[in-house]
Amino acid sequence: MKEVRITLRNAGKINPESIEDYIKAGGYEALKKAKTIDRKALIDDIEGASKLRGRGGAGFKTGLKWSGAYGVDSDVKYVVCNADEGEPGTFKDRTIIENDPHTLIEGMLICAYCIQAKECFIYVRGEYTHCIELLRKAAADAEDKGFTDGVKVNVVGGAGSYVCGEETTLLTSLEGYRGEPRLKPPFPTVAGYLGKPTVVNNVETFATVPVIVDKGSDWFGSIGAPEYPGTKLFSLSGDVKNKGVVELPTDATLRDLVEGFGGGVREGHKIKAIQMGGGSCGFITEKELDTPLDFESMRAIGASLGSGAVLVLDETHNMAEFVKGTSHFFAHESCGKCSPCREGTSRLEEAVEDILNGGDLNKNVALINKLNDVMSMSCFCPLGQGACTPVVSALKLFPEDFKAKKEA
Amino acid sequence: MAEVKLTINGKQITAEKGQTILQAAKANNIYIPTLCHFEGIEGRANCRICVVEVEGMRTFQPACVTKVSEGMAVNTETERVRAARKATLELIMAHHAVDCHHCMRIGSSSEQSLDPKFCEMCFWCDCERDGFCELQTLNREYHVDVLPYIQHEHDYETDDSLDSVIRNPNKCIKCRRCVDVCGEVQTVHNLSMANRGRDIMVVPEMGKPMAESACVRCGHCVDVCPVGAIYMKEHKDEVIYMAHSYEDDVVAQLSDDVLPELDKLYKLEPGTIRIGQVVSALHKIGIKNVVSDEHAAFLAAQQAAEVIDKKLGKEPVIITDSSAVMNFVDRYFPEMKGQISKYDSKQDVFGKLAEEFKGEKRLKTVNVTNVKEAGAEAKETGNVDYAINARELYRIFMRTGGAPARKNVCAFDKSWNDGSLPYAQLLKSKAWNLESDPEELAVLVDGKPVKCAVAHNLGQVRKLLEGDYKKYDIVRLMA
Ligand SMILES: Cc1cc2nc3c(=O)[nH]c(=O)nc-3n(C[C@H](O)[C@H](O)[C@H](O)COP(=O)(O)O)c2cc1C
Ligand code: SF4
Ligand code: SF4
Ligand code: FES
Repeated sequence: MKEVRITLRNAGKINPESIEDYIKAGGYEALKKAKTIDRKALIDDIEGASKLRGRGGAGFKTGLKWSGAYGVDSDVKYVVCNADEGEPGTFKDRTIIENDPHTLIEGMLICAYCIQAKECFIYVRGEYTHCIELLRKAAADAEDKGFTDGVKVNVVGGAGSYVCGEETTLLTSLEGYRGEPRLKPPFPTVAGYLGKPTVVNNVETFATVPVIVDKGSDWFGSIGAPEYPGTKLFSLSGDVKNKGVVELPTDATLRDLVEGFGGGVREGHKIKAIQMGGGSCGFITEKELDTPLDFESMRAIGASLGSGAVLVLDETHNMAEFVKGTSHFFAHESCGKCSPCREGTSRLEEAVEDILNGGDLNKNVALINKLNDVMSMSCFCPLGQGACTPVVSALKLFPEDFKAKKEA
Repeated sequence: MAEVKLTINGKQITAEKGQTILQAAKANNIYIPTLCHFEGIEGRANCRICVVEVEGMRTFQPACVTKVSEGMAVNTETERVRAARKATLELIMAHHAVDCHHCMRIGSSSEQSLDPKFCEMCFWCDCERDGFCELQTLNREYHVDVLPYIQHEHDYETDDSLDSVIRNPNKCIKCRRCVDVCGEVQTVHNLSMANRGRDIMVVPEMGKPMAESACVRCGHCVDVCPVGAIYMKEHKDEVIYMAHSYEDDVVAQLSDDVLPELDKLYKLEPGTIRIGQVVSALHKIGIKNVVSDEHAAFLAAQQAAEVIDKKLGKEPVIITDSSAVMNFVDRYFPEMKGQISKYDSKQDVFGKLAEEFKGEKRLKTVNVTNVKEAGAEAKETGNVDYAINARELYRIFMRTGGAPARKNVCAFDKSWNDGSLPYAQLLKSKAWNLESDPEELAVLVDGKPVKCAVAHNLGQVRKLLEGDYKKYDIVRLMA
């Protein structure tokens, strides 16, 4: 299986700081073309024929989201790009921005045209200072060249917390409040930024839109898996020989990615676990390597595609140690709004730590299951709901890693 | 109003569109426990105690904010939700500086050993909310007992800088009722949340002590806090002591605004306890002179009426008897200060007229009222020695066995022959509310209607002082 570069089509070929380069590569033609098409028809085409689905983690249908915002009667609407990229092991949005910031801006301008928004925001992870600079320059250049056509593109540095990547939290943070999720419904498409209809999409989602408009939805819809067509960017990391961002059609398999592009694990070692989708996801093992890299196939094996993070761990890792790290992450990133997550995340970390320190295994496992029961069902947002998942998954797949510690 | 049909626990019910599951359940006498929810404040759904099962939903839904919809099937008491609620309570408790749960007197921390009635009378542990703490009540209901966690408490300092409104952050359960009341309702915006995760906490403006913060001493955060994290400084011991002291003559002014809360605290039907029974109970604990607040109300209203009569028709009449309002004006509307006429509060008037009771002994004054700012006012102006609210009165009675419902009705120890209250409709005592618009009313002056507005909270005060006062002839401000 070869890498297919659609979203990353310009990567390495153009100077990301040069709008001229982007234009020479056919940039901003899709925007011009889009403006000749009826708004609703274009949205329907993206929804129906391209079947583009969000690349940020939840896999929501992009066209459906846009038509939601389109359908709300309001003078003021917004387009927001989620470039917070806080999911552990995910670095694909950064790759897109660092290589081709204009394709993101063009995608957002197409969306702004479709839903009739006059202002866009790109909420960029605070640590990505280089991305922020590139995007600011790109936005200014696009304005100078007249592409923005009265639409303002703002680039905003993020507040530096993981939960700010959750869309309602992102909007709350953008409004200048504490980074905490808010109730859905109303969904952002109805009442988003400042209470106005707002489309929030991931960087990759927007960056894929110009090619779709350019080459046609049918073309895009014919690539990869039928229900999750096109390509997906994967952030491959961990114990593989080659780490990095790879763009693959969604009918490629995990094996194509890990063995083909990653070159497998070091000689003499073997794959122990793969954490697919990001820090809040469970683990899969080598047995699942032939699963196609699309949303439904992953779900079918109880895993998730998530943001496309693929973290490979070889047998040198103790999974109890590893999930101590993930639970620490969630305890640190909990916003503190709701009680089960605020209190539960650190109790989870404590329980794992206690196991590692030789504490009573059965008691701690019972406690972890109890925490998982309440947190997965009662927490306000997916951060808390998923915080126990890696621990529960590791306990199920690698019970010996937890026992070994007790005896040692 | 459009109707929605749904089932709760298998029972078919009809609710109004736009209602929450909690409201629909309440209307049908179905109980759902809540903790962070406070009627009248927009729900934040932080505590996750009210979670219920909604068929077809992946996760439990908080009943306090989830809207009903056609055909919805809700289950409020399944084993799974009950277990989740209990697990959440345990998590909250393990991080709560608990005074009440581990009884040193009966030597047990087992919930079964604790008899609520005994606890309320005991006061050994003496949390200001013991007996009517919403968290404690839920713990009893859900048999939260031996916790599966090591107790971790924060070690924050108690902020008693005001010596009236006191904050003990170690007991805070982060429901944010106080933040919302202070910010959304009172628009003082003093209390807010700082930090995140487990370290999240309520702090006054810029993390300053209360006394240096933007706090205007309205006392409403005390009222809404479900636990003992914000409370009014109590003077139970002092009051009981001086009531029995041979050196003091104690006079108490008693307002009937304490009755509804007393009924609630004693878990009696509204209207059960009569004012004469409270007089009797106060006698019983040793306070010999108990007077009604009606005379003070009359004298205060006379002062207000003088201002009205002088200014009406010549300039806008803006009156208040509240020191919290004056603090609020100082901070947010200093330019308006000269236009606002402050008249004596009932507590001020009582402080002055109590002199009439002075005999050989030292005179001590106690104002028994549920006006929320009374405690801070007493502390800061010294107009009376102590102000006692309904909760503290209840705690005094519990401790001394003075249960008013079992007392005879007794007359006040002194009465006055006052006429009727001037401008009664405008100047009679009125309650705080959570609404955003002031009350409008018309009073007849010389047979002509005069337009009046009454602010029932500081948010309404803000609205009026920002310019709306110009629409009225007389404006009365309360905090
Ligand atoms: C805790 C949490 C963190 C998230 N972080 C991100 C993120 O960093 N970037 C992102 O695009 N989406 C993130 N999401 C998903 C967003 O809420 C949202 O679904 C996404 O931005 C929608 O864009 P899409 O439809 O283009 O995928 C996160 C969700 C949760 C619950
Ligand atoms: S689950 Fe609750 S505390 Fe955790 S991040 Fe979400 S809202 Fe905040
Ligand atoms: S101080 Fe009281 S009212 Fe305020 S958040 Fe804490 S528990 Fe809630
Ligand atoms: S009462 Fe509903 S979440 Fe707290």
